[in-house]
Amino acid sequence: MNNDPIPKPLKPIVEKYPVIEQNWLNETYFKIRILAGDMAENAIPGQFVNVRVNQTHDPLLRRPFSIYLASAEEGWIELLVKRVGRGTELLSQLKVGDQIDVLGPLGRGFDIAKVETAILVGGGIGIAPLVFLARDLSIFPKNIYFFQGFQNKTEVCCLEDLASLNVVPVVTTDDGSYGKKGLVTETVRQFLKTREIQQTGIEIFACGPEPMLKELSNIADEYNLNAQFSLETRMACGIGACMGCAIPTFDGENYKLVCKDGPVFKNHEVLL
Amino acid sequence: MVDLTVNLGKLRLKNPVLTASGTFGYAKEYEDFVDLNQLGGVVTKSITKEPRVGNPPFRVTEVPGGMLNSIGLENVGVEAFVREKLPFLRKIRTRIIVNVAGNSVEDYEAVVSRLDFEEGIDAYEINLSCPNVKEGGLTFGKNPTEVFRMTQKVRLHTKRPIIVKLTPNVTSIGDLAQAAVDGGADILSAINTLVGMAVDVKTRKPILGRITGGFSGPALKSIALAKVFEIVRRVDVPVIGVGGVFSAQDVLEFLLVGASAVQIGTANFVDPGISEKIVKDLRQNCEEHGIRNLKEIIGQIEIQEDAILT
Repeated sequence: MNNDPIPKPLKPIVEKYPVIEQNWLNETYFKIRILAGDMAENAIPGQFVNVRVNQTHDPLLRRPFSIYLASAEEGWIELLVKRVGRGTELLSQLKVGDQIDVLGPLGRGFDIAKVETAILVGGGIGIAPLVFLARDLSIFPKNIYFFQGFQNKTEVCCLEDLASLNVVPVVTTDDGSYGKKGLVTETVRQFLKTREIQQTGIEIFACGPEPMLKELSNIADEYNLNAQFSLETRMACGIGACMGCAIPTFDGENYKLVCKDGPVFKNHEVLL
Repeated sequence: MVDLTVNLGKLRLKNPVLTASGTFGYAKEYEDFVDLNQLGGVVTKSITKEPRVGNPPFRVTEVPGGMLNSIGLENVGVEAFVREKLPFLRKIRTRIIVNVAGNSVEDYEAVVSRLDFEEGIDAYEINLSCPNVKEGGLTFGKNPTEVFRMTQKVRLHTKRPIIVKLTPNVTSIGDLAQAAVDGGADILSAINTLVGMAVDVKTRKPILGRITGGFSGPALKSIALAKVFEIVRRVDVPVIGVGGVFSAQDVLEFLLVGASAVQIGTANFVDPGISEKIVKDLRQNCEEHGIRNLKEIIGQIEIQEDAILT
């Protein structure tokens, strides 16, 4: 286990901000861009915001979302959201100019201090925190491979945001309707098997469904690579007070909080 | 200028707004969002004799009208609390109330007697009502005889005010209130959460890892108001109203039915700055309603005695 300290995030704030852009990308995914200068300046890839979708008590709790992109220069943050329930449905109905109540930036983001070659792996909506990471990584002369697994062609999205970055995107779909057919983890495995890559400073950064993360954890072990996983769970406060978002530590004897100790965890830090 | 001070017996608060145990951590978690000095008081997370790791996930889920939680009294234990958490709490210029929980009478006694050596604690809230641990809290808390015995035992270890927090998961909360007072409680707080459950049809499993949890949130308020009303008509000690307080208006409702103070719980999760906002709004609401001294409205709900069902 790697226990190196990860930079401590700056203070979170809670504030109402205007929505400045809202775009549907396909039937269930949309992006929402929020004018949030102070938050945009502080945000680190892998951090999240806890959003109150309206000011009533229904829905009651905030909904956590990874920060998809942030622009300190232009003062906005952007979320990539999949419509799955009432909270995200209401969020999708917000229009440009509407106010949105955001708490953030929260949690521990990705640690990119030592990476030379980054293997980003996103499953479905799990690509959300990785685009921000890809952008920050591409500022440095690093090799960045971004594997994205989707169900089918209609789910594929956000490639345009990677176009200007120094990133090699690889798309897989379960049904083969776009890119390579099969599970994204298989493609990652093949990539590692067939490529002559330097064995130092390679690190996996992933977010997505639990089976995908488990498999990547195994792959990281097989190839002796560092790995960091962005996790999600049911959450209430988002600031470490309610202790609701616990997940077991790797030894199963204790718990970590996704909101405060995570959402990014190193391989073998928690039980996937 | 509105006088917001209230008295819980000899425990004087600068205003009636406290935070509910388990929803405010050890206060430090909220320092970025709240001027803690503005609060009437802070009630800490439950402290037990030994550290507790808490329950398996999921521990929280939203349900209509509120949420369920099954945290399982995760806390650092009394020694680490004294060492790591209390120094910060001492610096806040407000009342510090430490919530105490345990698996046995001896556990409660051990925590209170340990904390009684420490400065900067204004009162203890004895949690006899946590629904989320197998052994603790609620096993005693549902039985008036046990509530009496527990309170009496803890009473021997401190001269500080003792608040007993009562469960609504019983036929008669009035009997529990009476038992706590007979055992030596100075103050009562009511209510803790209602036991609830949520089911995932797709997986055919309960959503919470421990099957059931405690229901809290806006829908709890009307129940809590009725329970506070029942308690104040039964016993003569001050009562702290807990359950679904989300606004200054809610505070006034609890005071009118007879609570002398309130605790803000689940609302802290929705808006981390809400406790301080409620104090501000309360001052303004009092001005609008022509209330110059908050103490004057406690229990002043207008009722016809023959309308009361007993």
